[in-house]
Amino acid sequence: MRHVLPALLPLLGSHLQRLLREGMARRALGFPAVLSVVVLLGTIAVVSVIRGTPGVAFEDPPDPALAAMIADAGLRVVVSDDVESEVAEGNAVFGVGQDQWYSRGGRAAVDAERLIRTSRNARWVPHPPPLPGVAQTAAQGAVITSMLIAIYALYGVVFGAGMIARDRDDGTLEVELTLALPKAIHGLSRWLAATLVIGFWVALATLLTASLLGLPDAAAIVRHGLAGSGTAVAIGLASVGRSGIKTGFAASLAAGLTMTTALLGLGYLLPTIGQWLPVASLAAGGSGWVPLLGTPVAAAVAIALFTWRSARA
Amino acid sequence: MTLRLHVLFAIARRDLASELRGRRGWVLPLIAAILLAPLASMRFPELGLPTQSAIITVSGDVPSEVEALDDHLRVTQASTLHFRQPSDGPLEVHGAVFLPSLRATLDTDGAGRPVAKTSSPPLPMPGRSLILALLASSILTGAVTESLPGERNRKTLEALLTASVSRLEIVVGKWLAWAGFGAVAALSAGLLAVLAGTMSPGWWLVALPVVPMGSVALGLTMVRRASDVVGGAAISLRVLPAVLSILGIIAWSIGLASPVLGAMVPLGGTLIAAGGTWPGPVGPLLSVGLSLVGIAGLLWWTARDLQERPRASGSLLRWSDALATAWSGAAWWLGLGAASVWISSGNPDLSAELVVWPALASATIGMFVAIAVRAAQDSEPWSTLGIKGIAPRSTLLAGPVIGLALSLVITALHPLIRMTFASPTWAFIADRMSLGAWPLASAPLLGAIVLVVQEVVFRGYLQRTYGPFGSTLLFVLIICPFDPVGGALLGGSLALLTHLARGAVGPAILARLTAAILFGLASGFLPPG
Repeated sequence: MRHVLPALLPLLGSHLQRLLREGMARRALGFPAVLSVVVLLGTIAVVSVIRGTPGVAFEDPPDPALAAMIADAGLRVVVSDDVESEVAEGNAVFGVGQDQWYSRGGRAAVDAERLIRTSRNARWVPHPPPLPGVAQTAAQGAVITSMLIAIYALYGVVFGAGMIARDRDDGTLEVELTLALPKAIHGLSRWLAATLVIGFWVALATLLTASLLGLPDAAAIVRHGLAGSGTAVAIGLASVGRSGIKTGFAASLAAGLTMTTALLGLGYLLPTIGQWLPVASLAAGGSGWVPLLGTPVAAAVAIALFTWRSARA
Repeated sequence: MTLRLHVLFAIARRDLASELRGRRGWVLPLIAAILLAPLASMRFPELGLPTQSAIITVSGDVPSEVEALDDHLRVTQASTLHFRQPSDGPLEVHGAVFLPSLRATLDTDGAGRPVAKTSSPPLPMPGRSLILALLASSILTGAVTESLPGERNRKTLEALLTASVSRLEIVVGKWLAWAGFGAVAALSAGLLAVLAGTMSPGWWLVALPVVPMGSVALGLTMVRRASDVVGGAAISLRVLPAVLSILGIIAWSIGLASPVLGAMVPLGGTLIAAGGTWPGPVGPLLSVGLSLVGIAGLLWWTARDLQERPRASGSLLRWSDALATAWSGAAWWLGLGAASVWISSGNPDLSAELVVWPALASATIGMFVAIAVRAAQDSEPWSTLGIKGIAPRSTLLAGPVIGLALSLVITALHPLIRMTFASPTWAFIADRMSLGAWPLASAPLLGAIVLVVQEVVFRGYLQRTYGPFGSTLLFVLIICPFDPVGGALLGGSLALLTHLARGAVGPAILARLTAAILFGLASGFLPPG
């Protein structure tokens, strides 16, 4: 046992370094988080640019009080002989003609009408529906994050199985197994390395979404994500068996991915059970503590299975 | 440099023959026919927006005359329109859609006027010939991938390169084969669409065959260095459609303002012109002309790089350092500042409501991942990060003292030197950035981790890479852009301390934590400013 920790750390460092050096792994892990954030930011940026400062068109300059109210509401005054054209061409969202008003629809137009009616002491005023607050956007954020983490969980299976199969094919694993170390250390170091690398990306994807949209409980979702990715790596490790990349890898990978997807499905169908199980808890919710604590148990079983099957190989 | 036509045709014929030979040779033309012919000739039902519901649900203090309207139905909750009558003020109608019948019923005081819904004329959208052009291009990705990387994999490219043909002739010959195939397929589909009556003839027919021609040239350029078919396919399948789509979107967006300017976007302009988006001959012809120039440039570029040339010594490391620096800076700014987009999109309350700690944590993780990936490329990653070096004891003792001095100076200077902004977006970003530089104010434990990571990144990795001045400059630009004097003072002092500690970051971490705690105590652990 006293040899285990001094041997585990360099092995873990070496596996971490290999995973971080692997360009395809970096791109695969970075794409979901970066793409979702860039698309979200790009969409909001385009909306902002297109929106500009909405105008309210008048045939004659409005009285100063109304003009001040319009400016305070983040709108601008447009004075034109042809207010209908100003609205039709998008230069204004609302146009005030002598006998007819014109609207392009949308919240800025309703806001403009509200101000105009208020200034005229009208019997009624329209109010646009309230803008979405964190409560609404956080619900959307939770959906996006659960999808992202599900992708990372599936990556976990690929990483867990792929690390073993690749090392078996190029002979690295056989060399490591001849070392005078407990056999389980090789499974353990690989599980830790893959879980750490995927865990960082899971945390990054979750927290980026939380910083942009908010999340109902970001820390709990990170716990679900870490539990899910750690268990998925363990499933990959357990399912790879004696396969290499060239022999039997597809079947092992399919088994691992099926099991992970089945766990996700269980979480959707039976959330009362799923909230206690890693991977399933991604869909079921809950505090995430029990699945997180269950992950080392799943890893221990997977490492034991891998060690037993590798020793027999 | 001359191009011999008989050589070009010989290379093209050889490429086509190797792909279209035997029973498998029917696959590509068959796929082209199966995909393009139905799309060109079939009539599709017109798509339209769902019609608006005839009944508007209302709730709240609904006036009796509104309840009497046929198209308004009272419900107790979840209504489309909610009425509220304050004790002093006009009736408030909350909702998004106000039907003319409602307006006419409520507008009894003469203050309002009928409201006409006005919208812009529909945007010019590409027709189905755009899909024909894209499909004709996409079916060629396999052939393009096989063309150069396949030859390189089979070691036949070397044989060609040693023969008495120029590199440009090889590339143009290969382009001729697949650009010709794609152009014929696209043009045939376009003519079929005209004959079937699904498209009217127009100038788009000129642009249509140029899209696959440009795509093949772009594809060859992308795979020019790929060593095998798998690597080539990964590039062409992943990058080519994205590049085509982005160029197309750019051309379309610019074309909304001026079709002539849109047509000047290489390849993208041709793609949009092929969709029949722009009327008249100017847009299509201009885009075709410029795309042909672009194609010539791409083929020359491909030919120039066809043979692997050794990279300049050290260039890889410099690039990866620049990339890691840019990535870490972008991650920090994105993490902390991204929430400001809601302000410019018209929902400033949402930006203010978003909690700070996930932003701080994501910015820190993003920055750390960038540097960790870069350090992993080295044989001694811990040394690259400045973690392995042992600091002299004197510098370790000096750390807290320097931290104390920094906290005193910055506490005194901070209100004087910090920039302020009138723009709410920039004011929000400046506040978030200030919080990033002094993070103990928002979350003590997370804040301490943030400070340690910043020191590892700036005094560890960046100082080793760019030296003390470079790391200080980057610290100011990335962490303290709105407090440059304070940032330079802080970054410069810590850089000097790290320099004296022979590159070890321990003393700088001690100094930074001390300064942050004392500055926090002085400012009541509130965000600065």
